[in-house]
Amino acid sequence: MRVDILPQIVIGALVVAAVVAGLFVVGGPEDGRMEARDQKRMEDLRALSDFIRCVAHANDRQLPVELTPNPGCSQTVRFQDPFSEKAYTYTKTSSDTYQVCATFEKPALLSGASFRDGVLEPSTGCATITYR
Amino acid sequence: MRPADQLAVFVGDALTSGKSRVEIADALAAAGWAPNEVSEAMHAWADTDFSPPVPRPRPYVSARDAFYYGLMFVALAMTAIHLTWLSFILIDRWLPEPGQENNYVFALSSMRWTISTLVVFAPLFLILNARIVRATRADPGKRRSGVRKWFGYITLFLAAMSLLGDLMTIIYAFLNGELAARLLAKSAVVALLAGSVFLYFRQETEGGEDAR
Repeated sequence: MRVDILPQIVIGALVVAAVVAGLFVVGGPEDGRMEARDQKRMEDLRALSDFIRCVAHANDRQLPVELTPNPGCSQTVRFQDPFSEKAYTYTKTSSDTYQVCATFEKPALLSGASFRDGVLEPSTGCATITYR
Repeated sequence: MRPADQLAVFVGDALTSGKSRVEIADALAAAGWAPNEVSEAMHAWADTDFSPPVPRPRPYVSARDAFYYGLMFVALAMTAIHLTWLSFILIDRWLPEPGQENNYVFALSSMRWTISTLVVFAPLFLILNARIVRATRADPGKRRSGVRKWFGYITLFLAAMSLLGDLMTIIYAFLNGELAARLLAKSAVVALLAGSVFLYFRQETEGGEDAR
């Protein structure tokens, strides 16, 4: 092997190795689209959680039992997944805690995603939130 | 006129008028020129009996060279920076530390960005480099390009700085008791990359020494 082309070979080999390993980790364009959809779902869940607080606030600090549109709170909040059209679920778990859930395509990427006064559990796709 | 050019013209005139090289060197030294300036001025003219005196080749600067070397330099810099960045993300991923924050989503978009950059700039660097190596082999006079020398030495300087910084980081981490697999892997990547660049441009800047 000629010494004068060794550096170029090393640089080229490092680039190829890093790009292949990188693509292996990030996946293709479809993975990117899944992540973007999951991000949108996260935004929706956060907005939904804010909406529920707003409803509870207007109702003498009582968490609602089920999701119903409320003219006094956000008009734009979504009750269902815009991609799969599956409803987001809301469960009142106690007088001051509730859960909002969505079906994520790549839940592992969302581990520990934070909500106001709550945290998302990736395996279930549910965020358990405390209403204070 | 730069003092060095003025001096070279003077030496040329003196040789034309039949003065010997020793006489000229003595006259210059008496006038207060330093030994390296004298030898450089004498070196600008070939040591033959041919008259008028024969000039040695001088470095030249061309816009075309500036374009090719500038592009190659930028391609190399982009490749090196993004290769290091991508390797660091991969190492962070493969060698996680306990209590590490989860920033996968951010890391994924950074990785896509670095991959895109590498796909554009790494082949550009290798192609331009192969082109320049071929051109220099075919015409060794191209080694005298002033632009080439400047880009070569700037790259050499940056590569030397990264190697020294790398060494500094390792010693600091060692003293701090942090010398873990992750740090060693990152240092190895930087050393390998900066080392290749250093080696490459050291070969590149060698030769063509008659051009000052």
